Amino acid sequence: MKKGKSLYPPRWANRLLKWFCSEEHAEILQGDLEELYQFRLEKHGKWRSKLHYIKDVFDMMRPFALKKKRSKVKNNSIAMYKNYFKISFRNMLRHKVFSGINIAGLSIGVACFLVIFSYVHDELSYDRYHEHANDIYRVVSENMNQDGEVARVFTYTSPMHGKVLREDYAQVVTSVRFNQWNFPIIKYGEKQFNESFFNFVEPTIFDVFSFKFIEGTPENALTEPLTVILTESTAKKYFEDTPAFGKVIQYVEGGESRDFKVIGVIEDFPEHSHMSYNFLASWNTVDDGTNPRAFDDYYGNYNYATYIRIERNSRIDDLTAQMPAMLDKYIDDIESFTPSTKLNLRFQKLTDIHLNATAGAGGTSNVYYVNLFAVIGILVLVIACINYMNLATAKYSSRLKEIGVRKVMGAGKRNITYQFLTESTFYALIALILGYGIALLTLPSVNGFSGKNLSLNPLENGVLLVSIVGLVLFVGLVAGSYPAVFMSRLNVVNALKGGKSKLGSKSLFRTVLVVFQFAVTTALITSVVVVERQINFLHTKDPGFDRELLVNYPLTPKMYEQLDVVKNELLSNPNIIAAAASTRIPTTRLGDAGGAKTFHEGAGKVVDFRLPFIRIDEDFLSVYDIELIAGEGFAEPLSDSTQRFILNATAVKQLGWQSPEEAIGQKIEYAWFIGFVTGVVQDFNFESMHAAIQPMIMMNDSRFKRQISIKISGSNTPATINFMEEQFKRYNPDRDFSPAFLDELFGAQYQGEQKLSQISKLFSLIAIVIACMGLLGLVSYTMEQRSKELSVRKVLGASVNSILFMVNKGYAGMIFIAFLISIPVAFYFLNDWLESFAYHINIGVGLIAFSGLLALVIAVITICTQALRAALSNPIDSLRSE
Amino acid sequence: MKGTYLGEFEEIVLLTIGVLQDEAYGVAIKLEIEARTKRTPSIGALHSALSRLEDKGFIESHEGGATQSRGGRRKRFYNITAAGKRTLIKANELRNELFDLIPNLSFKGL
Repeated sequence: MKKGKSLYPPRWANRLLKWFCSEEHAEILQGDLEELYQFRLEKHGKWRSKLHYIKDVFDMMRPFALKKKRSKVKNNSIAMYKNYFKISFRNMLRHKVFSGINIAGLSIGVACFLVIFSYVHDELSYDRYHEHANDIYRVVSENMNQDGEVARVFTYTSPMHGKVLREDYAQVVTSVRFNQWNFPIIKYGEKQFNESFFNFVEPTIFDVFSFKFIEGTPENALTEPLTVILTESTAKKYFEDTPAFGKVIQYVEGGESRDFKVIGVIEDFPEHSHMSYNFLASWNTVDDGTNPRAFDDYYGNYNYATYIRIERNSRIDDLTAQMPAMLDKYIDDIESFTPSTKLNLRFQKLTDIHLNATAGAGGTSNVYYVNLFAVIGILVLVIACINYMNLATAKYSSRLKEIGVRKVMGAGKRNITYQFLTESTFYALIALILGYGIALLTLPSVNGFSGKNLSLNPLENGVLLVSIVGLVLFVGLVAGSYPAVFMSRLNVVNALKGGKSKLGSKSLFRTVLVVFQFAVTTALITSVVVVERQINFLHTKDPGFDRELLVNYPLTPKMYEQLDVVKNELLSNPNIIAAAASTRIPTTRLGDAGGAKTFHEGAGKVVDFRLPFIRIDEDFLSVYDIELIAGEGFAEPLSDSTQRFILNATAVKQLGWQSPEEAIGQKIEYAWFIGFVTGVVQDFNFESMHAAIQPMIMMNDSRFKRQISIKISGSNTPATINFMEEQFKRYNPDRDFSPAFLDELFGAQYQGEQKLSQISKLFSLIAIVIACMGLLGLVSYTMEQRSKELSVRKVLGASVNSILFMVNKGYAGMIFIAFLISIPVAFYFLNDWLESFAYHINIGVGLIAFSGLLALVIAVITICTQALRAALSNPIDSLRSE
Repeated sequence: MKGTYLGEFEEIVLLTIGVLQDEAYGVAIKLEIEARTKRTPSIGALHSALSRLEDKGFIESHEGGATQSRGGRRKRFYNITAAGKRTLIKANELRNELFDLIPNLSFKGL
């Protein structure tokens, strides 16, 4: 050729042709194409010819040229699958230990997955029962600090917001406001109960949420003042089986009473609801224009839960973007700041509320834990699958001849692949049945533990049914994938000769699997240790107040009127050391108040951060053993006009005073009080140790304080409690006496973490057990393979110890690599979790080394159980036969 | 099983094979068709037609004659079979017969 041999047609096009073209045609067609190419090369040049060539190759994709299916004989695949099942079953029975380990691992993995799946599914199903669930949002207010960062988030808004949102924005279909009154007594005839909430709601509630009415209708409901809707169980409580409609209940709070007419009964709030209210009373009752609680145009008073429903398919972001402008329009400048620099509104999707509870909200679970459990569930399952892969490929030698014969008889790669996939699916099926059984057995205790009502009935839960089928396929295909590929690649001659094939016992892939398993195990061990230590840390860390031997119960106004008498009566018992009344007790939330002002040399300065308060009496500090660092406590109750304030050290610092001493005597205006700082106390963790200590202010006025805290000596506690109850009943014969121990309340704050710790321990244990079973199987197989070698070593004088050392050494590298991989991963996630606590331990070198060592010890013990057997066996047994 | 119907393009291919005699292989047939009919069948379409003709039993093939310009690959040469010859003749006769039946008048009109 004139232009030289370098001008070949594109090689990839050639390869493509060869790939799709049947062998019969490939050579001829390629020849023709190339001849044409050379022919065109002289006429049109390189590029056009090449393009033409490529076009021709694609043009060749015609039926006549394509590869035909290799076998035109139709296989009787059903018979083949029958055979696969039969062989699987026989193999399972023949290798009882291997199959036992395999099935046990898979079953536990499946059981874990099922339980976790139903838990996670349950967690994700909250608040979805409302017709407009996807269009409902809760209004959330945010306070910003001086740097414009969000300092505090509330799930309550001021009453104005709900109104303005629905009136000014077309996108908002409607809104509903909840005004919650706490702890009333409700009476009906002879019956009377202490209720925890009584809600005043707007009639628009029925346009936002969906409720099923048992009595009454949503039309015009709650438009009249002094009407109320009850939930089914509440109606039953008061009226038993008689109809509730039209009956009148009496609402009593602080000596006042009002009559409410029942105009409807709705079904109880479902379990899967973030809110649960028993009384829905009409908003007009409080919003009659004269009531001081009615503040439609008032921007303060952030005590109203507000929900909005927006137009379907409209974007909530559009609304959020308009909020700063709205706040600036309706709210006067706050001390020369535009309102939008100080506060903001955003919207939380109804269906997100349960999982992403914001501070102070009712949500109990956390998206963090749900994600964590989901990850653990999948990890356990994957570890079980890896076990299967490892064990199935490790014992490949016992299947060599079978595969060889199958191949000789005409089985292709594909058939062998199918066979092993069938086998793994068979195992997965058995594991599913066993795992489902295990899950059913453990479900009651899981329910008891999580306080949920999970069910594993696939007939009730379509998602579960689908996931079960998916699970079998997933486990079957994933676990079977590697063995299937591995076995189908075996060389026929090698397989039949039974000699060592090149795909020997040390395959890289299998090493990777073992390393992965161990990395997961080490990470889980690390997290167990870290979680355990953090919880210990929280329990032993000094919160700054005394929490031992402290009893709390609610006071009634009747008792409070004669507080001194009540206290003296209590103190007459030698086992009662001190008593104090306060509005709230440590471990609960502090009260939020309106604005506060400090006065520096006469000029008032608004306090621009949240300064929550608690009202206490003169004995509070001594009962709780809170240390005064400057000034003095409250000697006696003061007049209500001028207050004495006690601050904590953080408040002093944030208010800009250099030292506690400097704060003493400073004038403060707080909500409706004016007074002077008379004392400063050491910081203590009033609310919880999840958050850092906040500034707080304490005062003592004569108004009702709900709680009494009693310090007891600790001897003869039941009698002491009885003594308290007798006294309580004397004042309030109708009320229940419900004492609580502060240290229990303190512990309850970390219940979430406690549960997390228990669950993570359990699952880690399971994962570790499965991983160890896998290692056990692998080592026992390797020992069997190497039995001759080990026997020769023994004959030549190797000691048991040296053999154990040698075997362990082989795995030490893997464990070490696994350790290196797991550290950063575990460190990252655990640090993330620890950051959610204001006070937390640090993950140090010691901790990592400890958990690494623990993993190593577990691995070595596992290996040694098998290695020891081999090392101690009589060499003759394995050397005798050849 | 295939029908023995001869398509228009198939007929041209079959005729060209007849014309080329012993030199009838893919590229040669394509170039010959291009030269005589001024149409440019793609090589894919041509082979597709050849494969169909072979299935119908009108042509047979043998391999041989590798050249350097083909990268040393063999050619597949085609011959018309007896059945092919019969079909060609029959098609030709049918066409002539029909042609003769056209009255002269209609030609004048054109």
